[in-house]
Amino acid sequence: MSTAPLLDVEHLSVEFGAPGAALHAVDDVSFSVSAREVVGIVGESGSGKSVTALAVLGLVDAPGRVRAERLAFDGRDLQGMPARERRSLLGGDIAMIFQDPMTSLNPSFSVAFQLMETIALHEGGTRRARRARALQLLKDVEIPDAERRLDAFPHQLSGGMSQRVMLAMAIACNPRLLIADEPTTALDVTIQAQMLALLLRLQRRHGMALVLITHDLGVVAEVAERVLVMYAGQVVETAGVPGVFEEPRHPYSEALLASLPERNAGQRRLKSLAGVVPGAFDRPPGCLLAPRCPYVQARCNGERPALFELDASRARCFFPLPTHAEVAPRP
Amino acid sequence: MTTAAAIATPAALPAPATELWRAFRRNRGAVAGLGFVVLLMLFALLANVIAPYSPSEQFRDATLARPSLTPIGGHVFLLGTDEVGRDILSRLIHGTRLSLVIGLVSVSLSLSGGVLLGLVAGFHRGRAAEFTIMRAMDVLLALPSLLLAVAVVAVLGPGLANAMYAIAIVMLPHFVRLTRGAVLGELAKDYVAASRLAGASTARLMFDTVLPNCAAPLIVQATLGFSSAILDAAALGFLGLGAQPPTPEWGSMLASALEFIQSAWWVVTLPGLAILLTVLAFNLTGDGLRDALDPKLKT
Repeated sequence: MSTAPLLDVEHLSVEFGAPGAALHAVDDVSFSVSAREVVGIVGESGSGKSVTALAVLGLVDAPGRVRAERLAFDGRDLQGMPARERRSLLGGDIAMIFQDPMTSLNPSFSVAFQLMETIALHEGGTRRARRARALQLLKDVEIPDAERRLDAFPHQLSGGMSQRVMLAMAIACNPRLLIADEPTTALDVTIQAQMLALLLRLQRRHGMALVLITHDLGVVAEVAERVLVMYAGQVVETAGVPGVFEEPRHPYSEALLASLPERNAGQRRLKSLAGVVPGAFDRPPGCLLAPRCPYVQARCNGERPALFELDASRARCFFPLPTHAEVAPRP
Repeated sequence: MTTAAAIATPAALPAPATELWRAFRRNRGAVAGLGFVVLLMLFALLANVIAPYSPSEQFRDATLARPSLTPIGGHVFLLGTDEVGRDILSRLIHGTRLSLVIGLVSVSLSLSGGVLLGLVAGFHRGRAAEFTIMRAMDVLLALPSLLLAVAVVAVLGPGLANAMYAIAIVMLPHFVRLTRGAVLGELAKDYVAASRLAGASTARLMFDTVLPNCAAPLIVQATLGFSSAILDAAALGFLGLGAQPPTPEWGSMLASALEFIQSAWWVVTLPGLAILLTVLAFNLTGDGLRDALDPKLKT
């Protein structure tokens, strides 16, 4: 096993709109995912999590502009690759499951048809063999009464079941990287935990790397090894998982953690961070969090911070929060 | 599997066709319309067997005979005869054949062309292809439909085939716009992105992924298009621009009978009634299909 990362993204930017007044949906994002690693990407709505994933997969369309210094999967540059080669690479080695299970399956075809189509593309085999494999996949994703569900149409399935079918289709081609874009957001709370556990079991069994996009820090805490915290299209902090929960270095990470219901037990009101993510026209000149940051300083309003290397993590803040070891008061 | 779970789940999920029929059956008007349409199809298919006489055979001793059961010269004319003694019932039955062929041909032409243009426009949103197609369709829509059909026939020359082309062109913008709208709606859904991710080409996305999901409104529009095609063809025939006499086309039958409107009501009323009932039947069927196929429109 080489130490080179499976997915390597350097200085990725995605812009929408006219060049002069463009919206920077993704702004200079770099990250890498190693084989078999689980990486969480968190941030509130509009922080560029999904667009980052779509850009990596080449699914950002014409009006959007994608630029990256390096966008490589398994050492192969995705940008310079001809479209056909890229498509076959993506379909086989990278799979993605989406947020809304109700629109993720083609409503015109039965579950069996859609699964068998995927299997035919990647493995081939006789009709009978493909159907048996499809059934096995449904059992792998723990769909109850799989035989009957095989011939169901998407509208006859519940959201949770659709999501499981999506997952079955995703693992059908034994991908090396699975990108899950808010896979539990649209599901009932009771199903969410089951779904996550299933996702992790499959990730281990198939040896996949998993990129989990979510706004739920609780999910990340349970599942991920490393986390990227995104805000307004930028990575504001990256850290190992127990670390970021115990000692967040960026004020935004701290604010996200503080707003978890678990950490507000006994409080009358949930803690929240006032304001919204800046859009295309109200981007502050300095730190993007400055208008909402409780620790804002004069420097934050005039200058945009870089992603600074800290002891165990990196944070985009001039005045990173102190670790527990550092008892020194903030300036 | 425990027995409790086995009891909780019904035996089998209904097949899509069964579901469609169940929903369709609830609308009585639609079932009646469909029944009439089936009857028309039988007439059209078996016209030679059912019709008592040839549509062009002239019974010179029985011109403008009233509808009756009494034989005239050994022949019974159930719905009477026209000015040259042709049996109206036979002509109407043979006219069914023409009307259905007109509907089928012009709707097929219009549908295939419209779907193709609509798919291209939908997939090339914001680019020159979409602009060109949609503005051309806007131009076609801006003209009154019958006037446009008359203009097309004037260019191509009168005749049944040219009338069908003209009607196909008149209906084209409806199919293009409908397809484009449905395509845009579907393209925003995740399964299309999933399909792209799996490596589907544009042609595959268009025809295998997106098109089947746009079928419901297109089927409804095609059924309703059938009735407007029949109506337009009758209008062109009435104006002398469609089927030419002695073709037993309902519109041209109306036109040639116009001078007898005062003296012999049956030569005018019966073809008109045939047109009315046929159009009504297709509209009822189309409405029923819409209710059955598109649950969002149900209240």
